[in-house]
Amino acid sequence: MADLPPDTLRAQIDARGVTIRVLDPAAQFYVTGTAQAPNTIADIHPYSLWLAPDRTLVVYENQRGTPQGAFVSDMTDGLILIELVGPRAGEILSASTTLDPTSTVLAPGRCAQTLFGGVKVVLYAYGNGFRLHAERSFAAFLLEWLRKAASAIGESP
Amino acid sequence: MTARRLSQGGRIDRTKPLPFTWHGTAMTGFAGDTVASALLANGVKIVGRSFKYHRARGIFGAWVEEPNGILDLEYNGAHDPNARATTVQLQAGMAARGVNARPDVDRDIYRGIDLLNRFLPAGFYYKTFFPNWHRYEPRIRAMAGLGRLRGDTDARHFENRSALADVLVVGAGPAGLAAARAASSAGLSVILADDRAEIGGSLLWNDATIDGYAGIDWAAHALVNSGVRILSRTTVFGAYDDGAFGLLECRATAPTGWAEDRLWTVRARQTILAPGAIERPLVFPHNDRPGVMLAAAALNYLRQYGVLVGDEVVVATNNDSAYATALALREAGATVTLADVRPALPDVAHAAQSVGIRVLANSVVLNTVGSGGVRLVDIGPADAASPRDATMRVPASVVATSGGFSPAVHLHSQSRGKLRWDESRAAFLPAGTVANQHFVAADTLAEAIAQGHGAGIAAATALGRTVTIAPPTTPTAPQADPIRPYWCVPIKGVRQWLDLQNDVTVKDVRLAARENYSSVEHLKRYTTLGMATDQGKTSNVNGLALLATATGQTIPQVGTTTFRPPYTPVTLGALAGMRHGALYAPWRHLPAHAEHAALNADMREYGNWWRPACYKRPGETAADAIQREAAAARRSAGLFDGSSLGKIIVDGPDAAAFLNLMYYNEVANLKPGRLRYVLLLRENGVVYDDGVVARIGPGRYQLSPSSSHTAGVLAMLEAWHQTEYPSLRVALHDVTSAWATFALSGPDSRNLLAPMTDIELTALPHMAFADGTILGIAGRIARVSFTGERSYEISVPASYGPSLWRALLQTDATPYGIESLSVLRAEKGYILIGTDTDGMTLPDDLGISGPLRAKKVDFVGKRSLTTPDALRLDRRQFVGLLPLDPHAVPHVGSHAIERTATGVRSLGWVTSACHSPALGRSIALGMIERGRALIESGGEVELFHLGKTSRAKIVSPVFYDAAGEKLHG
Repeated sequence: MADLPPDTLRAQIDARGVTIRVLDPAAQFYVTGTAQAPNTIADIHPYSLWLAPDRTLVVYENQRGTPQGAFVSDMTDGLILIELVGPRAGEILSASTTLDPTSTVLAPGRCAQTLFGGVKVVLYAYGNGFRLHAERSFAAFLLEWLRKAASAIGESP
Repeated sequence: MTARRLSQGGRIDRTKPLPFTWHGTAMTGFAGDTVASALLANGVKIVGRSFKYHRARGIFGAWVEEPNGILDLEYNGAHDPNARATTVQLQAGMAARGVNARPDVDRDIYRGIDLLNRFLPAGFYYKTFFPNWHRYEPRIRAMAGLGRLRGDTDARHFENRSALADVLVVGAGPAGLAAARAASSAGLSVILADDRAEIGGSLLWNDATIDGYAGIDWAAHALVNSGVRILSRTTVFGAYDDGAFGLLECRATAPTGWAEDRLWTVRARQTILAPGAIERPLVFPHNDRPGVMLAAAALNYLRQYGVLVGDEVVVATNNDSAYATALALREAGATVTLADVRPALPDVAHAAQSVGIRVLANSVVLNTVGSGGVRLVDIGPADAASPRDATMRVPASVVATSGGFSPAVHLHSQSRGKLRWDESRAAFLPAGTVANQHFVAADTLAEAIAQGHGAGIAAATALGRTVTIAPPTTPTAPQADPIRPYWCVPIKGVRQWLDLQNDVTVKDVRLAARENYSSVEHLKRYTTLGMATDQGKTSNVNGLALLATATGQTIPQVGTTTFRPPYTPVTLGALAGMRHGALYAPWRHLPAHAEHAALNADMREYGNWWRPACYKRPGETAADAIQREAAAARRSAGLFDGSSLGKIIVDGPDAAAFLNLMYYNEVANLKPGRLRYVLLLRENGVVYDDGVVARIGPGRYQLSPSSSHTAGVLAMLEAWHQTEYPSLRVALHDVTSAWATFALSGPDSRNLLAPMTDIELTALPHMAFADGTILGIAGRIARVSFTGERSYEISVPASYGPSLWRALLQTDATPYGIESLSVLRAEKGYILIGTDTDGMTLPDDLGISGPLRAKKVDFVGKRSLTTPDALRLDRRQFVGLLPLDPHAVPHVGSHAIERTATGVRSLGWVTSACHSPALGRSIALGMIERGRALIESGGEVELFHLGKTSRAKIVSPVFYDAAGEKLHG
């Protein structure tokens, strides 16, 4: 019997000054057993987001790897990664969270856990925008939210 | 003569005419108009009918203080039944109507109610209709209120936003601009919010020179390149905890996108309140006739909108400020008579007299005459005892009145700031300061600029910064003559209006005082003074001053009512923002959501998850589908999406010990590869959740809490680990959303599944699991059942959920929804937490008492299971009920009753009920007092629901396959 095909979430929302994309990272893991300063991002490719004392989210962007840690749970299928890029990405944040895009908790190298449109996310500045991770079951809701929030600042010219 | 538009002047754009309608009559305004200024410019005098007496009312103010101009407004498909005419920006195509009038405000058929005014005093409703209020309420409610909702959805769109700033400056008048300018020069991030479309505040209509420029030109340039974020048309309506402020940004003319209104939450480290002041009127007989308005409003209409409110105007004042109105109206061509309460004319009177204004000292308005608006005005001495004391009658269509200014202390007061009565200014001012707030309450332009700049310095200093720029300069103005408080004309027997929006008169206040409503808070409730959309912005101070007079107190003794948010009305839609319809709550979707939708599933919300209730076929009702699906699962095989079921991995050397401390059931002796049904209790012994624990490794377990309890169970376990058992080496990961889980259940399930997996299903007993591949995908199959049939829960990574669901459907298994599952589990007597249990249910009430006897270690809730209450013999216990009428399904919630000599007593209630396809009859589950004894004795109970009764036999809750042969087979 033929193998089953996976169902990869893909979406892109273009608005005036911001592009929102669902990314498909190679792997994501919850890891317990590696020390990291609270609310920080460590290393790059893969990078690791602090979630709680003794718990991090490790993200492999391009190539799947195996993180170090006493207790590792594969969350590749459990989390979605959404990227907001563009000069007006901050406005989407301002409309969706209680955090100000200029807040120090979103400074480079830091990550914040907050509610985004009511959904628990891990949020951080990344490149010319922001990234957030949320549980996969919220993907449809978050994309609907983002479409509406993006339409509030106008269609892409 | 009515008001008219001048050919020049004002800040409107005469090259952009905007057509609109008033009660269907076509009119034209200009870009920059408010609806109120456009109505005035078109000669409209009556804009509304008063709340109680249906008296004709005209435009009274020019901004948020307006009590009368409440309109029904339609624009661009949106409908606002209570639009405030003075603050809504005119748009082309607007259709405006007055409210509380039939057929229109000019010909209102209810205006005769005013003739009954003698019989409708303050407290009329309380005195007349209580204690039988319920009889009169429907009719009174039908007549009450102003605008009428239409019952359709608000077509407007709203959005919420959050922002942080070092400094929030409220008000962009001269003080606010000076403050923002100073604070931003110190390198601070500043948000400046102002409710008008254009910044400048009073500079928009007052003459001023700042830094050598005309005031309004200075305002336009003061913050250029300053980095200050300016939010115009944004009202700071509320002060909340921790420096949070609520702002409503009205963007009816949003250049792009749709969000007309935005609700902002701004958190600032320092706040500068420069909200300006609101004029209050002088109170005199018949002062509610259309044409009576605030003096500052008349000036505002002239300077901002190029509208001359009348060609013959009486200005009535007790202070110097109204002279500016008189001078400006005179300059625009009006004939002006000025009545000043003060016994001696102030210095500014000479300037007025020199341009032909007749100025009268010690004079007040004793009466206004006219039908549908002021036509004649009687003027007489300030101490007149009767309207007949009038010394002159002048023709005038407008009385522009000023009784002094009340600084808008609302936000200061909302922040728990105290107030003091300032005798010299006849106004309430902040007494002391609020932490991290600075209030500007200036009387003159020079003071405003100095205080604003000073507040900017204070805010910067508090944040460790230095202001480097000098304050703006303005020429020193001549000293104003002092105000003379004058609260009403000392005449009795004629109505002098205090609160125009609520039809409260001086007489009402005196009556309330006589009836001992001597507290200002009681006065407000008794007379409704200061309620409704304007919240008494023009009436509160006059009202409490009159209460002070009537009760022999001073104004500070009377005090003010409590200021509460919002300062101005906030649309409910703005509070909701985007949270409505599909975005009402953060819904969760199953991995195979689209597949369920394609099967015409009846999707319903269960604990924030959208899940199939059942899958209706053409022509089927939901009830039919549920019976068919449940029967199919018993007969052959059913397919259920259980992906929402929680999955929490617990790992660590102490995982077994930790879980044993948490769960009611013994967990530590669970063997690898096996599952166990467990209960989780609260400290009070009440069953919080049930679920299955799987031992997936030597020191690793997977918990499966119920779908809507996963987050709660995780939080509870984390809390116990972090606070009570931090020494235990254990960690938890919630991996629920990483997996798709489908249950294949029924006698044929094994045969259908076997060809799809490399796991040997015949070697898998009930309550065991194995890892392997399913159609080539690494996953897990657990033999666990909530239907009572042989069942396999197949879990694969979530991204394979849709394709696995489609593949499993090919096996001809019948998909069944959660409502069908609920029937299947009820037939087996399996509980649903929160349905069959409640906040009082202990494990023994469910018949699960083994662990309490056998388990050696402590666990959460154990202590509470041996209290006298827990051991009561008459506790309600979980039972099955067989209705004597097998075709009647009892209502869930029906009480089992016992009739005694003294009445009727409840023995418990029905918790679940359905028609059982397996038994071909109705069944029910319930919690019944001494239920297990009743099962033994084969007792019957009487069920009662909404007056109807029926009987049911108490039986074991397991209706189907009591021996478990199908489950284990």
